[in-house]
Order: sequence, then C-alpha cells, then structure tokens
Amino acid sequence: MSVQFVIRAVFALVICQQAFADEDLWATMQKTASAARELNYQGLFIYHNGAIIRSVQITHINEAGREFTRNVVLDGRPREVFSEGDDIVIFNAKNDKVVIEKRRGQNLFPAMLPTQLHPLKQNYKLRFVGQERIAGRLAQVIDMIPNDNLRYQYRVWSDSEYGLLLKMSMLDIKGNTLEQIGFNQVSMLQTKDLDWFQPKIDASKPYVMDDTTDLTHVENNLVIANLPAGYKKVDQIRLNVPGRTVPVQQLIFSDGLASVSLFVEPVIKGMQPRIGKKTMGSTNVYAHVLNGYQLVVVGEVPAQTVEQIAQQVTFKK
Amino acid sequence: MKQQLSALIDGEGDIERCEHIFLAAKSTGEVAQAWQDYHVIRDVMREEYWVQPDMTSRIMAELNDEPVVLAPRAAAEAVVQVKPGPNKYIWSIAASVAAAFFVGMFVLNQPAAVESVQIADSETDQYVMAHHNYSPNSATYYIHNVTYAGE
Repeated sequence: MSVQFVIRAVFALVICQQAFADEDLWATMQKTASAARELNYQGLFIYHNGAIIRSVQITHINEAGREFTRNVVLDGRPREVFSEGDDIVIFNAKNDKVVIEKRRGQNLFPAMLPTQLHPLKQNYKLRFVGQERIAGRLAQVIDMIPNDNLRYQYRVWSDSEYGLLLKMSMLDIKGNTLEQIGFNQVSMLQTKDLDWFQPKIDASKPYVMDDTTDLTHVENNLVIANLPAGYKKVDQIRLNVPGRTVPVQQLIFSDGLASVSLFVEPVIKGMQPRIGKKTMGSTNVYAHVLNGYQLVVVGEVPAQTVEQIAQQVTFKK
Repeated sequence: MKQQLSALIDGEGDIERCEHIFLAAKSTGEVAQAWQDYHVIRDVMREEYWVQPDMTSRIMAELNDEPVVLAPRAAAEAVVQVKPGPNKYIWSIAASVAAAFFVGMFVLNQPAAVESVQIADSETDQYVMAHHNYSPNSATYYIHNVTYAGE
C-alpha cells in the first residue's frame, strides 16, 4: 500500500465527512423550518435593529395542521398580529381608533426559514459554529454564508432538542450585526385550547379597515432583464397610497430568505422625483427615474443588490 | 365597534370586511354582550322576540325560580306577564331609540376622509414600510414608526 494511496483515502474520507456534515446541517435547517410551524409553544422574543428594540409575546398552536399564532407587540404602540394559516390580521391601535390591516403569508419569527430550502441551498453555504445557550435552551449555532456579496450573512440558533429557531441574526460583510431576533423565554405548550386566539378589544374605539392595498396580482409591461443571481420575483401587487391618484406597483423579489421590493409609479405633475440612495440599518433604498416612472427599490440586502435591480428595469414597448 | 356590530346585525355591514367584528364578538366582555343585546333589539323590532331561544330559556329559568304556585289562576297570571302585550310596545320603543342612537353614533363616528398629504421629498419611509408590510421576510415587521398620512 503506497503512501499516496493512504493520503488519497484520508482525503476522500475528509471530503466525504464534509459532505455528510453539510447534509446534516441542511437537515437541521429543515427541522428548524418545520419546528416553528408544527410545535405548540409560547414565549417572549426581542427584535433588535439599530436603535429599535421591540418585545413581542407569542403563542403558537398547530391544531390538526392548521396554524394559529398571536403576536402581541409589547413596546411602543399597541399592536396585535394574528395569523391563521396564511391569513394575517393586524390590530393597530392608533390615537382614537384601531386600524385593521390584512396581510398574506409571511415568514414571521420563529418561522423565518422557508419550508422549501432549495433556493437557500443555491445561495448559501452552511457552517457549524458550536453550541450556545439561548433562553434557557441549548442551541446548535449554524452560519449561513452567502455565495456572493448580493446578500447578507445569517446566523441561526436552533434548539438542540426541538429544532425550534431560538434566535437569528443578520450580519454584513464585515461581520457587524445588523439585525437580531430571538427568544428571551420560551416554553412548549401542552394545551390545544384556542381561548387565547382573540384580540384585546377596546369597545370604546371604532375599528376601521385599512384600504391602502389591493392584493390583486397584476401584470404590466415591466421587464427586469438580469435580476441579481439567485433572486426570483415572488409577487406583484398594487398599492393605493393616500395622496396618490395612480396606484403604486410593488414587485417583490426573494432569494428564499432576503427580500427586495421594487416600487413603480408614474411621475405626475406636482410630484418631486426622487433620486439617490439611503441605508437604514439592514435596509437599503435606491431611487431613480426612468421613462417618466419613479422607481424605488427597498430591501434587507446590500446596497449593490438594490442598485442592480433598479438599473435593470426596462419597459416593453 | 358597537355601531359596526349594530350595522352588521341589521345587514348593513359589509360581511367581507367584518372578520375583526366576528373575532371580537366571539370573545368575551363588552363587545360580546353588545352582540347579544343587539340581536335581542333586532328581534324585538322584527317581532321575533318570542322565538329567541336564549330569552325563552331565561324566562323558563326565572319561572322555575318562582315559588311554586298551587292555585292555577295565579299561575296563569304569571304566564300572562311574559306574553306580548304592552311590554312589547315599550321594548319596541326602547329598541327604536337605541337603534336611532346607534345610527347617529355611526354617522358621527365615520372615520374622517383621508387627507391628501404630499410626503416630503426626502422621505422614502412609505416605501420602506410597504416593503416591510408585504415582503415575505418580516423580521422588520415590528418596527412601525412611520405611518401613512391621515393618521
């Protein structure tokens, strides 16, 4: 047996183990994505972005495959977010009224990872960091490292026993934490009782529906020739913004985790076109004007990604 | 909330946009109570008061609580009291007054028309908020320092 053979065998073994570890990590991610949707739990988590900190109380139950979640935002203006399956209803207490907003399926914490991991596998590599204790639970820490600089890096803390996402953070290319969300305290629920699934109603206030969104899917003559690698259009909706006579088109792109919105509206008389860029914590904004249309791109992605999307827009003749 | 409930019971509310009212009505407390009360008021107005099962059972329960009257004449009187009579008239008036009051409140409490406010040139906040509202990843969901005009 030659030395070379031994070296080769060892090398092959190392690669094999590496691949195996990789599969293992993706399996952990899959478990993490499912656990948030399948388990029954309640707890308190903190969302942290720049100077903004919000505590949120969450209760989640999966009753025969149907998910019920109640999120009560404890800091700042009272706000309750209810979701049943993909339907989300938000009760927003304003000064003299309660505004009700309706939304469609979103990946709310801790269900932040998509159940379909395929797009993530194309855009991120996983690296096992170690174990850490979060909210009294032991967690596996895994880094999601982007393949390019068109998206940020994420760190995931997954409960060693249940697989529940305990914490997640977003880091820029220099390793600075941009955004962080994680449990302070969490416990599994044994009950299937749904008596908590109701808002705290203030009978003295009028409840009004928010009408600014028309959630119909629309098509137009907009073309984006080369989307940044790994990004796909996931939705297109129409917003009725107060003070605008023409609806604003919103196109949403995602790489499976990060998302970017492109807003398109005609520049009408009296409207000051906006051109420029802006960074706010993890959010980057890029605005410019094309063929008499105001384009604004917003996303929790690096500046170059929003810029690239804005530059690629063309209108079909 | 209450006037919306009232309108809904009268078939004037838009069912499509009332999920929150149903949600509230299903809960306990003032709104749930109002939900029941308005149904009673409506039923009185439509003269369906006497088929209200809830009411009937309550009357039956109260009758059960009454001391047992052996003389049949007195028992008959007790029953007479709960039949539609002058009582019903008073109820109807009360209900009409209540209904007028709620309709009035409804008109008064209509949300003011959203004012057309041009956002400042430098502001892109509306876009950022819309992005956070409708994009699939919403950790940023809990930030809400900016809101649409008309608040």
